[in-house]
Amino acid sequence: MNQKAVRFFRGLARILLILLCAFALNTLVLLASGKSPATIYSALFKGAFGGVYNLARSLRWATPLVFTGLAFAVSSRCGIFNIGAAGQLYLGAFAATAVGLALPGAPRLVVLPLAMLAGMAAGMLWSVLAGSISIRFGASIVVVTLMLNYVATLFTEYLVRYPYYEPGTLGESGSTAYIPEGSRLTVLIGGTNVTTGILIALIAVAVIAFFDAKSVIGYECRVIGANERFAEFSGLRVGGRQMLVYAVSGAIAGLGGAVEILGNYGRFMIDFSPDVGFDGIVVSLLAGGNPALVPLSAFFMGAMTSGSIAIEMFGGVPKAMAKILMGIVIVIITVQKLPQLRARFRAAASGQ
Amino acid sequence: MNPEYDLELSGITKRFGATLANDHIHFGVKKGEVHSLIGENGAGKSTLMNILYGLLRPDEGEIRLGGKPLVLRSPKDAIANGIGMVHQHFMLSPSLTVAENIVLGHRPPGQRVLWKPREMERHLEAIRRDFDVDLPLDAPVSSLTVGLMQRIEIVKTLYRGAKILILDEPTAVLTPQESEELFHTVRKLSQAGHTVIFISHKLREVMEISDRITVLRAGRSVDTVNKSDVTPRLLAQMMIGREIRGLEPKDTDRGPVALSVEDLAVPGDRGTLEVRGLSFELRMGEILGVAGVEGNGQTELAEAVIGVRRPAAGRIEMQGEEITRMPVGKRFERGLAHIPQDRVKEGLILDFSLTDNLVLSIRNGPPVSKHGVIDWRAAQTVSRKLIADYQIKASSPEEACKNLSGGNMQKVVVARELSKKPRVIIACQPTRGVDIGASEYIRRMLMEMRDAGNAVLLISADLDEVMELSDRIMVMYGGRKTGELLRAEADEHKLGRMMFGITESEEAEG
Repeated sequence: MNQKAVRFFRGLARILLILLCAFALNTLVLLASGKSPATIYSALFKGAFGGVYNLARSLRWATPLVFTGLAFAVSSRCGIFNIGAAGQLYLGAFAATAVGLALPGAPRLVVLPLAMLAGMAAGMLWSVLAGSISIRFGASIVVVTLMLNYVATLFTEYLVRYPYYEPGTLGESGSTAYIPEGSRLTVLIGGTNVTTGILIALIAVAVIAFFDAKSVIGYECRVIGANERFAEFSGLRVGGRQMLVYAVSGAIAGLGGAVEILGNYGRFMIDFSPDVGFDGIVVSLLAGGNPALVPLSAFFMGAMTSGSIAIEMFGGVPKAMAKILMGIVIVIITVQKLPQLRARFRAAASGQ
Repeated sequence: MNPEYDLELSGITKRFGATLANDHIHFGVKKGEVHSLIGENGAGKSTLMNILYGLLRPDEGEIRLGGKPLVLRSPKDAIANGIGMVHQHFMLSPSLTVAENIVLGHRPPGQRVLWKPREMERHLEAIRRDFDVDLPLDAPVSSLTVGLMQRIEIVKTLYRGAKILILDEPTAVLTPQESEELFHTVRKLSQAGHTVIFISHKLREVMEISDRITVLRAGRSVDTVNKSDVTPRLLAQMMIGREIRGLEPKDTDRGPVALSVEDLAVPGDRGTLEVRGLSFELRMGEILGVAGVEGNGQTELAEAVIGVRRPAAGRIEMQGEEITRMPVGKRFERGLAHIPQDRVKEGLILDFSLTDNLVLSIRNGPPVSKHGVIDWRAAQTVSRKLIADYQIKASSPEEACKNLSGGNMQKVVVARELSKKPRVIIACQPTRGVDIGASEYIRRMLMEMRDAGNAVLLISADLDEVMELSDRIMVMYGGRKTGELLRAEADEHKLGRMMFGITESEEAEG
């Protein structure tokens, strides 16, 4: 247990160190473009953490990232580079919307669980489809999930435009009808967008973190992720476990979509969240793939999203700066792996 | 400095982090001698040779060649000074011909840009004649046996003008006959005034080929001795620093059939059948050794028996139950265990802790888990006990496996596989790349398993090992069984011929 705690804190320190380096490098970028880092960072931090309202906005943007980050972390633990969270999120969001619209006037305690289950089921289905293609035909999971993302995005667009077309401005702007207020998640902090969705996200994290650290299944998945051939030689059911991981990962992403709709948007809009799926990958990488650290790294990313709105207003810098910062984070994570790659290259060269 | 020596290494020290790989090693080689360098894995042989070949630079110490100090910055410097090395892993391009491989990447001095095939051919012909090495110069390397590939490497170093040849465990990959041919070449080289540094841990070979022997232990040079002054037993003691116990195979009653294989055919990675119509029986209470040159279907046989490779035809039964198509996990539940030939790819997760690696086979059920939830504290207790029982040298059960030496890694694999109390054990190259101490221990564990009434299928390319441990020996060649002998009837030459595909009946005729 002590060892696990040590590992947790080491992961925590790693995140902070990466962020520190990212900010340092970003400062150079700002200086080079003749901006004052002090002004911009203070605007960024005020926009992210200054006051209840700003902090709430950071939490609101962190919530979907917890889901997509967790979805990616679950897959990567088992050695699967599943980048299909974006598509799974859309399908989950749409399924939840459909349930919300189909059951007007039903009690909240009936609609909400049903809508969330529908979202999970839709995401799971999409992910399992990708997984079956990959496992059965040996197709690259990166390509399969990437392509299925387009299919999912365009399919939901079709649904909005045709079967769920809502006459009037709503429909013209590419949105379904609103689901009733009584069928949505409760606001947690008055006057903000923080809903019980964040609690659902944290519960998901707790469940996954428990399975990852304490269950035989989680242990098996880590073994498969670390060395698939060894796992097979040790009698693990590699394909079966991988399908399970696809299902769970997809369900989490789908649940994330459902929570977005039920907590914030209240309706499905075409391509409502183009970045959340892929930002989840960064969240997971920053957390070192450790589910328990996903909320922290999601919170940082949410804060950057939230703060970037402020710097555009007060700092005179485009909000794309937050993207640059994320880009730097990715570069740092990649660079971190370089010694490993070099060692592997050397080993290969010396014939060991 | 001793004027007798052509090449002298003195006070060579090399540190890797906190470990001292070479600790003030002294090592002198006379011109024209065959000098063996022996020691357990991890004794510092490879480090020392990599220093001599310019791959590593020593932290302290001096290399002298012909009395003059020599600084080697890269293998290029070594080659320029007439030092050549034949690695264990060949560096050949399979699609090129033998001749092309030999001249590849080398520009003879004086020759600038122009490709002069005539001259090169003459040079190669001279090498061939002088050292009596026969090579099909125009054949593509991919069509050659391992023994010939090694010969190419030797000729390659000679072609580059090497006067001192370092052979790194050259016999590890050869059949006894091929080893004989290698020794013939080595003798020719030494007669022609070349110096050969022969790295090995096979004492019998060292005794056969060397003029003098230097023993390394734990990074230090223990002593350099004349071959005539020592016995293999004495050398072994110098290598491990204490008495070794001999392993006496015990005759036990053969029990019921543990594993039966009938007309088995197994495809290899390329789809061609690597095991063809193989049948044999393994009984409880015996060790059946499978000898053969590597790549004659042994790997495919093992993989089919444990279930990771699907046979094309035939039948496998374990303790009377058919398992031909049973999933791997079920076979393990029924008492099968497997020590894989490649512990890094198939036997361990290097980045994981010892505990993670040790409890995998017993993860289901107490004391490690209950209702699918792992009690890591209990798992750690189990792993601590295994580390102690199997004498694995590690700082803690939480240490990552990659920090262990090869021998200790292998002990982790053996501990995991044997601690689940198996009935039938498939051991593939169980002591390859493992130092003598650990080898001896692993062999003893296998014999204990046998003595306790279990069955062991021992697949090994090391004939000494097969002959030492097995009650019966089966030889595989080209995916078929070319013979089966009781240990008492087996000798190296009989087995060696079978390994080349000469069956018992042909043997009787010839």
